[in-house]
Amino acid sequence: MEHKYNRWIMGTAVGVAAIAAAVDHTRHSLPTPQANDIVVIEDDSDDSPCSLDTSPCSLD
Amino acid sequence: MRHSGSLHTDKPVALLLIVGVLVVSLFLQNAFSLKQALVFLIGIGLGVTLLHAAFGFSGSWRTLVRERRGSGVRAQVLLLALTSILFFPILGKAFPELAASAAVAPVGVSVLVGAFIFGLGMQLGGGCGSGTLFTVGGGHVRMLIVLAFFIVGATVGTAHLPTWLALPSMGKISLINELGWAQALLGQLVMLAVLYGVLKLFEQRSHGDVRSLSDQSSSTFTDRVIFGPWSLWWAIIALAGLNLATLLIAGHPWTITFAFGLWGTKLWAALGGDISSWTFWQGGYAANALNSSVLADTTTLMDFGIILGAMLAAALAGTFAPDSKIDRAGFITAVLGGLLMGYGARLAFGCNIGGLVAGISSGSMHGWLWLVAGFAGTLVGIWLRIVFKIDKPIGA
Repeated sequence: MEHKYNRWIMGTAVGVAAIAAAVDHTRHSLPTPQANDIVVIEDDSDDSPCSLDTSPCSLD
Repeated sequence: MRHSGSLHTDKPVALLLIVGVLVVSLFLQNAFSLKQALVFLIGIGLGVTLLHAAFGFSGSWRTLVRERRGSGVRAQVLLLALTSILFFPILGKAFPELAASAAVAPVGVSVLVGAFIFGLGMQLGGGCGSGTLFTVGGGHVRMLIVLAFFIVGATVGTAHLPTWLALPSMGKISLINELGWAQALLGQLVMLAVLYGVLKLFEQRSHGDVRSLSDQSSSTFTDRVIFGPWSLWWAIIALAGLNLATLLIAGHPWTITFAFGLWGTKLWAALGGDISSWTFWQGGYAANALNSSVLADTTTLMDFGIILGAMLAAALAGTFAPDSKIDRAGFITAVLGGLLMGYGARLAFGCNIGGLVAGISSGSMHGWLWLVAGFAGTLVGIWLRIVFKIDKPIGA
Protein backbone atom coordinates (compact mmCIF):
# COMPACT_ATOMS: atom_id res chain seq x y z
CA MET A 1 0.00 0.00 0.00
CA GLU A 2 2.80 2.36 0.99
CA HIS A 3 4.61 1.37 -2.21
CA LYS A 4 1.61 2.36 -4.36
CA TYR A 5 1.21 5.64 -2.46
CA ASN A 6 4.89 6.49 -3.01
CA ARG A 7 4.57 5.79 -6.74
CA TRP A 8 1.74 8.32 -6.95
CA ILE A 9 3.79 10.92 -5.06
CA MET A 10 6.76 10.41 -7.37
CA GLY A 11 4.56 10.53 -10.45
CA THR A 12 2.98 13.77 -9.26
CA ALA A 13 6.39 15.30 -8.53
CA VAL A 14 7.69 14.43 -12.01
CA GLY A 15 4.47 15.79 -13.56
CA VAL A 16 4.70 19.09 -11.66
CA ALA A 17 8.39 19.46 -12.61
CA ALA A 18 7.56 18.80 -16.29
CA ILE A 19 4.78 21.40 -16.26
CA ALA A 20 7.04 23.96 -14.52
CA ALA A 21 9.79 23.38 -17.11
CA ALA A 22 7.28 23.70 -19.96
CA VAL A 23 5.86 26.95 -18.54
CA ASP A 24 9.35 28.40 -18.12
CA HIS A 25 10.30 27.27 -21.62
CA THR A 26 7.32 29.00 -23.21
CA ARG A 27 8.16 32.28 -21.42
CA HIS A 28 11.37 32.52 -23.42
CA SER A 29 11.72 32.74 -27.17
CA LEU A 30 13.42 29.84 -28.88
CA PRO A 31 16.91 30.41 -30.29
CA THR A 32 16.95 31.60 -33.88
CA PRO A 33 18.19 28.89 -36.24
CA GLN A 34 21.52 29.85 -37.77
CA ALA A 35 22.08 29.72 -41.51
CA ASN A 36 24.88 27.38 -42.51
CA ASP A 37 26.89 30.04 -44.32
CA ILE A 38 27.11 32.39 -41.36
CA VAL A 39 30.18 32.16 -39.16
CA VAL A 40 29.35 32.89 -35.55
CA ILE A 41 32.13 33.83 -33.19
CA GLU A 42 31.07 32.79 -29.71
CA ASP A 43 32.27 34.42 -26.55
CA ASP A 44 33.51 31.65 -24.26
CA SER A 45 32.75 33.70 -21.19
CA ASP A 46 29.03 33.30 -21.79
CA ASP A 47 29.18 29.69 -22.83
CA SER A 48 29.96 27.80 -19.67
CA PRO A 49 29.39 28.01 -15.92
CA CYS A 50 33.14 27.50 -15.57
CA SER A 51 34.30 30.55 -17.50
CA LEU A 52 32.49 33.44 -15.96
CA ASP A 53 33.75 36.96 -16.15
CA THR A 54 31.57 38.27 -13.40
CA SER A 55 31.46 35.28 -11.08
CA PRO A 56 34.11 32.78 -10.06
CA CYS A 57 34.48 29.58 -11.95
CA SER A 58 32.64 26.34 -11.14
CA LEU A 59 29.27 27.61 -10.15
CA ASP A 60 27.97 24.07 -9.74
CA MET B 1 16.91 -5.92 -1.48
CA ARG B 2 18.26 -6.02 -5.04
CA HIS B 3 16.96 -8.60 -7.46
CA SER B 4 18.78 -9.61 -10.58
CA GLY B 5 17.06 -10.40 -13.86
CA SER B 6 13.81 -9.18 -15.36
CA LEU B 7 11.49 -11.07 -12.98
CA HIS B 8 10.87 -8.06 -10.73
CA THR B 9 11.10 -5.31 -13.34
CA ASP B 10 8.47 -2.61 -12.99
CA LYS B 11 7.48 -2.85 -16.65
CA PRO B 12 4.91 0.00 -16.90
CA VAL B 13 7.28 2.52 -15.29
CA ALA B 14 10.27 1.31 -17.32
CA LEU B 15 8.33 1.50 -20.59
CA LEU B 16 6.95 4.95 -19.79
CA LEU B 17 10.44 6.21 -18.99
CA ILE B 18 12.06 4.79 -22.12
CA VAL B 19 9.41 6.46 -24.29
CA GLY B 20 9.70 9.69 -22.25
CA VAL B 21 13.50 9.82 -22.60
CA LEU B 22 13.25 9.34 -26.38
CA VAL B 23 10.59 12.05 -26.71
CA VAL B 24 12.52 14.56 -24.58
CA SER B 25 15.76 13.85 -26.48
CA LEU B 26 14.09 14.42 -29.85
CA PHE B 27 12.43 17.59 -28.55
CA LEU B 28 15.75 18.97 -27.27
CA GLN B 29 17.48 18.22 -30.54
CA ASN B 30 14.69 19.88 -32.51
CA ALA B 31 14.16 22.93 -30.26
CA PHE B 32 17.80 23.55 -29.33
CA SER B 33 20.63 21.44 -30.68
CA LEU B 34 22.18 17.99 -30.69
CA LYS B 35 24.40 19.15 -27.80
CA GLN B 36 21.38 19.66 -25.52
CA ALA B 37 20.05 16.20 -26.39
CA LEU B 38 23.43 14.59 -25.77
CA VAL B 39 24.00 16.18 -22.34
CA PHE B 40 20.52 15.01 -21.33
CA LEU B 41 21.42 11.46 -22.42
CA ILE B 42 24.73 11.70 -20.53
CA GLY B 43 22.63 12.54 -17.46
CA ILE B 44 20.53 9.42 -18.09
CA GLY B 45 23.74 7.36 -18.18
CA LEU B 46 24.95 8.93 -14.94
CA GLY B 47 21.62 8.22 -13.24
CA VAL B 48 21.64 4.57 -14.31
CA THR B 49 25.25 4.19 -13.15
CA LEU B 50 24.76 5.88 -9.78
CA LEU B 51 21.67 3.83 -8.92
CA HIS B 52 22.83 0.45 -10.21
CA ALA B 53 26.15 0.80 -8.34
CA ALA B 54 24.64 2.68 -5.36
CA PHE B 55 27.58 5.05 -5.79
CA GLY B 56 27.11 7.70 -3.10
CA PHE B 57 29.39 9.86 -1.00
CA SER B 58 27.46 10.40 2.23
CA GLY B 59 26.88 6.70 2.94
CA SER B 60 30.42 5.64 2.04
CA TRP B 61 32.01 8.40 4.16
CA ARG B 62 29.77 7.39 7.08
CA THR B 63 30.67 3.71 6.61
CA LEU B 64 34.35 4.66 6.71
CA VAL B 65 33.94 6.47 10.02
CA ARG B 66 31.43 4.17 11.73
CA GLU B 67 32.45 0.75 10.43
CA ARG B 68 36.02 1.45 9.30
CA ARG B 69 35.20 0.00 5.88
CA GLY B 70 36.56 2.06 3.00
CA SER B 71 35.67 0.38 -0.30
CA GLY B 72 33.27 3.18 -1.27
CA VAL B 73 35.78 5.94 -0.49
CA ARG B 74 38.58 4.05 -2.23
CA ALA B 75 36.34 3.87 -5.31
CA GLN B 76 35.98 7.67 -5.15
CA VAL B 77 39.77 8.06 -4.97
CA LEU B 78 40.13 5.85 -8.05
CA LEU B 79 37.44 7.88 -9.80
CA LEU B 80 39.40 11.06 -9.06
CA ALA B 81 42.59 9.48 -10.40
CA LEU B 82 40.98 8.22 -13.60
CA THR B 83 39.13 11.50 -14.23
CA SER B 84 42.35 13.45 -13.65
CA ILE B 85 44.18 11.27 -16.20
CA LEU B 86 41.42 12.05 -18.73
CA PHE B 87 41.05 15.76 -17.89
CA PHE B 88 44.58 17.08 -17.33
CA PRO B 89 45.88 16.73 -20.92
CA ILE B 90 42.73 18.38 -22.31
CA LEU B 91 42.69 21.23 -19.78
CA GLY B 92 46.46 21.61 -20.18
CA LYS B 93 45.94 22.21 -23.92
CA ALA B 94 47.83 19.07 -25.00
CA PHE B 95 45.08 18.82 -27.63
CA PRO B 96 44.51 22.46 -28.67
CA GLU B 97 41.55 21.53 -30.86
CA LEU B 98 39.61 20.39 -27.77
CA ALA B 99 38.24 23.47 -25.99
CA ALA B 100 36.97 23.00 -22.45
CA SER B 101 36.71 25.02 -19.24
CA ALA B 102 38.28 23.87 -15.98
CA ALA B 103 36.45 24.08 -12.64
CA VAL B 104 38.93 26.38 -10.90
CA ALA B 105 37.73 28.49 -7.98
CA PRO B 106 39.33 30.58 -5.23
CA VAL B 107 40.86 28.82 -2.23
CA GLY B 108 39.32 30.75 0.63
CA VAL B 109 37.01 31.01 3.62
CA SER B 110 33.99 30.64 1.37
CA VAL B 111 35.04 27.13 0.27
CA LEU B 112 36.19 26.17 3.78
CA VAL B 113 32.86 27.09 5.39
CA GLY B 114 30.71 25.97 2.47
CA ALA B 115 32.23 22.50 2.17
CA PHE B 116 32.05 22.01 5.96
CA ILE B 117 28.36 22.93 5.94
CA PHE B 118 27.77 20.66 2.94
CA GLY B 119 29.54 17.71 4.58
CA LEU B 120 27.39 18.16 7.69
CA GLY B 121 24.21 18.59 5.65
CA MET B 122 24.75 15.49 3.52
CA GLN B 123 24.86 13.33 6.64
CA LEU B 124 21.61 14.82 7.93
CA GLY B 125 19.97 14.71 4.52
CA GLY B 126 21.14 11.18 3.80
CA GLY B 127 22.49 11.98 0.34
CA CYS B 128 25.05 14.22 -1.32
CA GLY B 129 24.44 16.22 -4.51
CA SER B 130 24.52 13.23 -6.85
CA GLY B 131 23.08 10.98 -4.11
CA THR B 132 20.04 13.19 -3.65
CA LEU B 133 19.28 13.12 -7.37
CA PHE B 134 19.65 9.37 -7.82
CA THR B 135 17.69 8.49 -4.68
CA VAL B 136 14.89 10.83 -5.77
CA GLY B 137 14.98 8.93 -9.06
CA GLY B 138 14.83 5.69 -7.08
CA GLY B 139 11.51 6.86 -5.69
CA HIS B 140 12.53 7.66 -2.12
CA VAL B 141 9.88 10.17 -1.07
CA ARG B 142 11.90 11.60 1.84
CA MET B 143 14.60 12.62 -0.63
CA LEU B 144 12.05 14.77 -2.44
CA ILE B 145 11.91 16.89 0.73
CA VAL B 146 15.71 17.02 0.82
CA LEU B 147 15.78 18.13 -2.84
CA ALA B 148 13.13 20.82 -2.29
CA PHE B 149 15.11 22.39 0.57
CA PHE B 150 18.39 21.82 -1.31
CA ILE B 151 16.93 24.17 -3.95
CA VAL B 152 15.89 26.70 -1.28
CA GLY B 153 19.37 26.64 0.29
CA ALA B 154 21.12 27.04 -3.07
CA THR B 155 18.86 29.97 -3.95
CA VAL B 156 19.57 31.78 -0.68
CA GLY B 157 23.26 30.99 -1.24
CA THR B 158 23.27 32.83 -4.57
CA ALA B 159 21.92 35.92 -2.80
CA HIS B 160 24.61 35.75 -0.07
CA LEU B 161 27.64 34.63 -2.12
CA PRO B 162 29.13 38.10 -2.72
CA THR B 163 29.34 38.66 1.05
CA TRP B 164 31.21 35.38 1.52
CA LEU B 165 33.55 36.12 -1.39
CA ALA B 166 34.63 39.31 0.37
CA LEU B 167 36.24 37.16 3.10
CA PRO B 168 39.96 36.22 2.91
CA SER B 169 41.02 34.11 -0.06
CA MET B 170 44.27 32.96 -1.65
CA GLY B 171 42.73 33.29 -5.10
CA LYS B 172 42.53 30.60 -7.73
CA ILE B 173 45.35 28.04 -7.64
CA SER B 174 45.54 25.72 -10.64
CA LEU B 175 48.14 22.95 -10.45
CA ILE B 176 48.03 22.71 -14.25
CA ASN B 177 48.88 26.40 -14.64
CA GLU B 178 51.54 26.29 -11.91
CA LEU B 179 53.35 23.07 -12.90
CA GLY B 180 52.26 22.17 -16.42
CA TRP B 181 49.74 19.39 -16.99
CA ALA B 182 52.16 16.42 -17.00
CA GLN B 183 53.97 17.32 -13.76
CA ALA B 184 50.69 18.35 -12.14
CA LEU B 185 49.11 15.03 -13.10
CA LEU B 186 52.06 13.08 -11.73
CA GLY B 187 51.93 15.00 -8.45
CA GLN B 188 48.18 14.56 -8.16
CA LEU B 189 48.36 10.80 -8.84
CA VAL B 190 51.02 10.46 -6.13
CA MET B 191 48.75 12.28 -3.64
CA LEU B 192 45.78 10.09 -4.59
CA ALA B 193 47.90 6.92 -4.37
CA VAL B 194 48.99 7.89 -0.84
CA LEU B 195 45.36 8.54 0.13
CA TYR B 196 44.30 5.18 -1.35
CA GLY B 197 47.08 3.41 0.53
CA VAL B 198 46.16 5.04 3.84
CA LEU B 199 42.51 4.03 3.40
CA LYS B 200 43.48 0.45 2.58
CA LEU B 201 45.85 0.24 5.55
CA PHE B 202 43.17 1.67 7.86
CA GLU B 203 40.66 -1.02 6.83
CA GLN B 204 43.27 -3.77 6.94
CA ARG B 205 44.33 -2.86 10.48
CA SER B 206 40.73 -2.51 11.67
CA HIS B 207 39.39 -5.78 10.25
CA GLY B 208 42.31 -7.87 9.10
CA ASP B 209 40.97 -7.81 5.54
CA VAL B 210 40.03 -5.34 2.81
CA ARG B 211 36.75 -5.43 0.89
CA SER B 212 37.08 -5.73 -2.86
CA LEU B 213 35.69 -3.18 -5.31
CA SER B 214 34.44 -6.06 -7.43
CA ASP B 215 31.65 -8.34 -6.30
CA GLN B 216 30.55 -11.84 -7.10
CA SER B 217 27.27 -12.55 -8.82
CA SER B 218 25.74 -15.57 -10.49
CA SER B 219 23.88 -13.37 -13.00
CA THR B 220 25.02 -13.05 -16.58
CA PHE B 221 26.92 -9.95 -17.69
CA THR B 222 23.98 -8.69 -19.80
CA ASP B 223 21.54 -9.17 -16.94
CA ARG B 224 23.76 -7.19 -14.61
CA VAL B 225 24.26 -4.36 -17.11
CA ILE B 226 20.51 -3.93 -17.60
CA PHE B 227 19.04 -4.87 -14.24
CA GLY B 228 22.01 -4.32 -11.91
CA PRO B 229 23.61 -4.37 -9.45
CA TRP B 230 26.88 -2.96 -10.80
CA SER B 231 30.24 -3.31 -9.11
CA LEU B 232 32.13 -0.23 -7.96
CA TRP B 233 34.70 -0.87 -10.70
CA TRP B 234 31.99 -0.60 -13.36
CA ALA B 235 30.79 2.63 -11.77
CA ILE B 236 34.29 4.16 -11.69
CA ILE B 237 34.82 3.49 -15.40
CA ALA B 238 31.32 4.62 -16.41
CA LEU B 239 31.37 7.80 -14.30
CA ALA B 240 34.84 8.81 -15.53
CA GLY B 241 33.82 8.17 -19.15
CA LEU B 242 30.57 10.12 -18.81
CA ASN B 243 32.42 12.96 -17.04
CA LEU B 244 34.83 13.11 -20.00
CA ALA B 245 31.88 13.14 -22.40
CA THR B 246 30.42 16.06 -20.41
CA LEU B 247 33.70 17.98 -20.65
CA LEU B 248 33.92 17.46 -24.40
CA ILE B 249 30.26 18.05 -25.26
CA ALA B 250 29.08 20.60 -22.67
CA GLY B 251 32.50 22.26 -22.49
CA HIS B 252 32.78 22.04 -18.70
CA PRO B 253 33.05 19.26 -16.09
CA TRP B 254 29.96 17.57 -14.62
CA THR B 255 28.18 19.97 -12.26
CA ILE B 256 24.89 19.68 -10.39
CA THR B 257 23.89 22.44 -8.01
CA PHE B 258 24.16 25.49 -10.26
CA ALA B 259 20.80 24.32 -11.63
CA PHE B 260 19.23 24.22 -8.15
CA GLY B 261 19.96 27.91 -7.59
CA LEU B 262 18.68 28.64 -11.10
CA TRP B 263 15.38 26.82 -10.52
CA GLY B 264 14.86 28.49 -7.15
CA THR B 265 15.66 31.96 -8.44
CA LYS B 266 13.38 31.54 -11.46
CA LEU B 267 10.58 30.36 -9.17
CA TRP B 268 11.17 33.21 -6.70
CA ALA B 269 11.09 35.76 -9.53
CA ALA B 270 7.96 34.15 -10.99
CA LEU B 271 6.26 34.52 -7.60
CA GLY B 272 7.06 38.23 -7.60
CA GLY B 273 10.27 38.13 -5.54
CA ASP B 274 12.83 40.87 -6.11
CA ILE B 275 16.17 39.53 -7.36
CA SER B 276 17.53 42.83 -8.69
CA SER B 277 20.10 43.06 -5.88
CA TRP B 278 21.39 39.49 -6.39
CA THR B 279 24.63 40.26 -8.20
CA PHE B 280 25.28 36.57 -8.80
CA TRP B 281 22.74 36.64 -11.63
CA GLN B 282 23.84 39.88 -13.25
CA GLY B 283 26.51 38.71 -15.67
CA GLY B 284 28.06 35.94 -17.75
CA TYR B 285 26.68 32.41 -17.87
CA ALA B 286 24.43 32.94 -14.84
CA ALA B 287 22.61 35.91 -16.40
CA ASN B 288 22.23 34.06 -19.69
CA ALA B 289 20.82 31.03 -17.88
CA LEU B 290 18.35 33.13 -15.89
CA ASN B 291 17.10 34.91 -19.00
CA SER B 292 16.77 31.77 -21.12
CA SER B 293 14.59 28.70 -21.07
CA VAL B 294 15.50 26.37 -18.21
CA LEU B 295 16.01 23.69 -20.87
CA ALA B 296 18.87 25.72 -22.36
CA ASP B 297 20.96 25.14 -19.21
CA THR B 298 23.19 22.07 -19.48
CA THR B 299 23.31 21.46 -15.71
CA THR B 300 19.50 21.41 -15.61
CA LEU B 301 19.32 18.89 -18.44
CA MET B 302 21.90 16.68 -16.77
CA ASP B 303 20.08 16.84 -13.42
CA PHE B 304 16.77 15.92 -15.09
CA GLY B 305 18.62 13.13 -16.89
CA ILE B 306 20.13 11.77 -13.66
CA ILE B 307 16.72 11.62 -11.96
CA LEU B 308 15.05 9.94 -14.94
CA GLY B 309 18.01 7.61 -15.50
CA ALA B 310 17.94 6.50 -11.87
CA MET B 311 14.18 6.07 -12.11
CA LEU B 312 14.65 3.82 -15.15
CA ALA B 313 17.37 1.81 -13.41
CA ALA B 314 15.20 1.39 -10.31
CA ALA B 315 12.24 0.29 -12.43
CA LEU B 316 14.44 -2.23 -14.25
CA ALA B 317 15.79 -3.54 -10.95
CA GLY B 318 12.30 -3.68 -9.44
CA THR B 319 13.22 -1.35 -6.58
CA PHE B 320 11.35 1.82 -7.63
CA ALA B 321 9.45 3.67 -4.86
CA PRO B 322 10.19 1.34 -1.94
CA ASP B 323 8.01 1.29 1.17
CA SER B 324 9.04 4.02 3.54
CA LYS B 325 7.57 6.13 6.31
CA ILE B 326 8.86 9.55 7.29
CA ASP B 327 8.96 10.13 11.02
CA ARG B 328 9.47 13.49 12.74
CA ALA B 329 13.25 13.18 13.00
CA GLY B 330 13.42 12.06 9.39
CA PHE B 331 11.45 15.11 8.29
CA ILE B 332 13.48 17.61 10.35
CA THR B 333 16.80 16.19 9.20
CA ALA B 334 15.60 16.18 5.58
CA VAL B 335 14.76 19.90 5.81
CA LEU B 336 17.98 20.81 7.64
CA GLY B 337 20.15 18.61 5.45
CA GLY B 338 18.71 20.03 2.25
CA LEU B 339 19.10 23.65 3.38
CA LEU B 340 22.68 23.13 4.56
CA MET B 341 23.73 21.30 1.42
CA GLY B 342 22.20 23.91 -0.87
CA TYR B 343 23.73 26.86 0.96
CA GLY B 344 27.07 25.10 1.46
CA ALA B 345 27.34 24.05 -2.18
CA ARG B 346 26.89 27.62 -3.35
CA LEU B 347 29.59 28.92 -0.99
CA ALA B 348 31.97 26.08 -1.89
CA PHE B 349 31.58 26.49 -5.68
CA GLY B 350 29.87 23.15 -5.93
CA CYS B 351 28.76 20.01 -4.17
CA ASN B 352 30.69 16.73 -3.97
CA ILE B 353 30.57 16.62 -7.79
CA GLY B 354 31.15 20.20 -8.97
CA GLY B 355 33.33 21.22 -6.01
CA LEU B 356 35.15 18.03 -5.08
CA VAL B 357 35.30 15.80 -8.19
CA ALA B 358 35.35 18.57 -10.82
CA GLY B 359 37.69 20.75 -8.73
CA ILE B 360 40.30 18.05 -8.09
CA SER B 361 39.99 16.65 -11.62
CA SER B 362 40.60 20.16 -12.97
CA GLY B 363 43.76 20.52 -10.87
CA SER B 364 42.23 23.24 -8.70
CA MET B 365 43.39 23.42 -5.09
CA HIS B 366 39.91 24.46 -3.98
CA GLY B 367 38.87 20.85 -4.67
CA TRP B 368 41.40 19.56 -2.13
CA LEU B 369 40.27 22.12 0.44
CA TRP B 370 36.69 20.96 -0.26
CA LEU B 371 37.72 17.37 0.54
CA VAL B 372 39.25 18.24 3.92
CA ALA B 373 36.51 20.66 5.01
CA GLY B 374 33.73 18.42 3.71
CA PHE B 375 35.07 15.44 5.66
CA ALA B 376 35.32 17.55 8.83
CA GLY B 377 31.67 18.55 8.36
CA THR B 378 30.76 14.91 7.83
CA LEU B 379 32.26 13.99 11.22
CA VAL B 380 29.98 16.54 12.90
CA GLY B 381 27.05 15.31 10.82
CA ILE B 382 27.66 11.71 11.90
CA TRP B 383 27.62 12.85 15.53
CA LEU B 384 24.36 14.77 14.94
CA ARG B 385 22.75 11.65 13.41
CA ILE B 386 23.39 9.96 16.77
CA VAL B 387 21.92 12.97 18.60
CA PHE B 388 18.79 12.81 16.42
CA LYS B 389 18.65 9.04 17.11
CA ILE B 390 18.89 8.22 13.41
CA ASP B 391 21.94 6.06 14.15
CA LYS B 392 23.06 4.24 17.27
CA PRO B 393 26.26 5.43 18.97
CA ILE B 394 29.36 4.05 17.25
CA GLY B 395 30.17 0.60 18.61
CA ALA B 396 26.81 0.20 20.37
